[in-house]
Amino acid sequence: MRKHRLAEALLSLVGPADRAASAIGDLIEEEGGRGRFWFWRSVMPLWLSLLWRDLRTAPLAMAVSCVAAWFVYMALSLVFAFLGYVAVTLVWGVAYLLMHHTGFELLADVFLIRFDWPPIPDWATDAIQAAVLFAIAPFQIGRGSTHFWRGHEVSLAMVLLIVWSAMAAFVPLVGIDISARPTMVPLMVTFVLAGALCERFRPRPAAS
Amino acid sequence: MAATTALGEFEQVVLLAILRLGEEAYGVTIRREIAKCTEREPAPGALYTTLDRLEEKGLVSSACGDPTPERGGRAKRYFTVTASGVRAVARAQRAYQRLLKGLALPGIAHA
Repeated sequence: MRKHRLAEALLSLVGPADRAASAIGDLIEEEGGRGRFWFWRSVMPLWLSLLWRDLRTAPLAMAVSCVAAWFVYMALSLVFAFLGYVAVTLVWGVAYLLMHHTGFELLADVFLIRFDWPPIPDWATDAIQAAVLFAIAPFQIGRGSTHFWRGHEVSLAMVLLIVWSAMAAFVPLVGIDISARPTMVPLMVTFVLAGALCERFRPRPAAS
Repeated sequence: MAATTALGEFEQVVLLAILRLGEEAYGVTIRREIAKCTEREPAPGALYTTLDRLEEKGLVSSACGDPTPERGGRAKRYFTVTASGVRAVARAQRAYQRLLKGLALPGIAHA
């Protein structure tokens, strides 16, 4: 089994994967006489150095990508929110049909239970919108980001945090009740990073 | 006039260590060589970011070797100094020598 996979994975988020592997190989080679504590004490400053270097490499290109990602995020949010609302309406409609046309209503009459079918509650639509805005759409953005910023996931998340906070403050989401407030941006960026990590480290079938 | 590449002190140290090691220059040996010659062990973060920077400047090139079991199945990344790297380090050393010329410093033979 490959030793210190976690350390290699951490370094591969702030630089090219082959360089991360060779750097970890070097540290493993030196770890023999110095121990595991020395290994991790070396990995963490190395990770921070590479992150700092990564952030300084192409900050403008990263910021432009983050602005573009914001508009993609808005479009995705609208699509997902619409699909979510359609799904809830369908579920609600099917439940209504079952209640009114399969004998449940007669049963309610027998037991003298007054049963008025309520409209879709606000909390359900709010929950859908919140899930879409703060989790599902950012997660998908994160998955897509690995195609453009592979090996720069952590730097991208940090730039995203700054750019999206500004965007959330100045560019409101039109047509969605729950606005993406700047205070929610850390949560959204967490889901972006989660999406990027899932896409990056998801098992893939071996190439034949 | 051709653009000259300014070298920092640690960049010169790294380039000289790679030149001394020849074909055996990779992360571990470079760190050891620097520690042996300067009596100061460089932090891995400082070394790898410097190596990346030198490679971006075109002063060193790198190539991966074969993975070995004692390195957890990871390959070594071997470094070589390019022709422009040799020129840059020679230029920096000449500048040091000019500065040293005429100075009487203890332990400096060419002062």
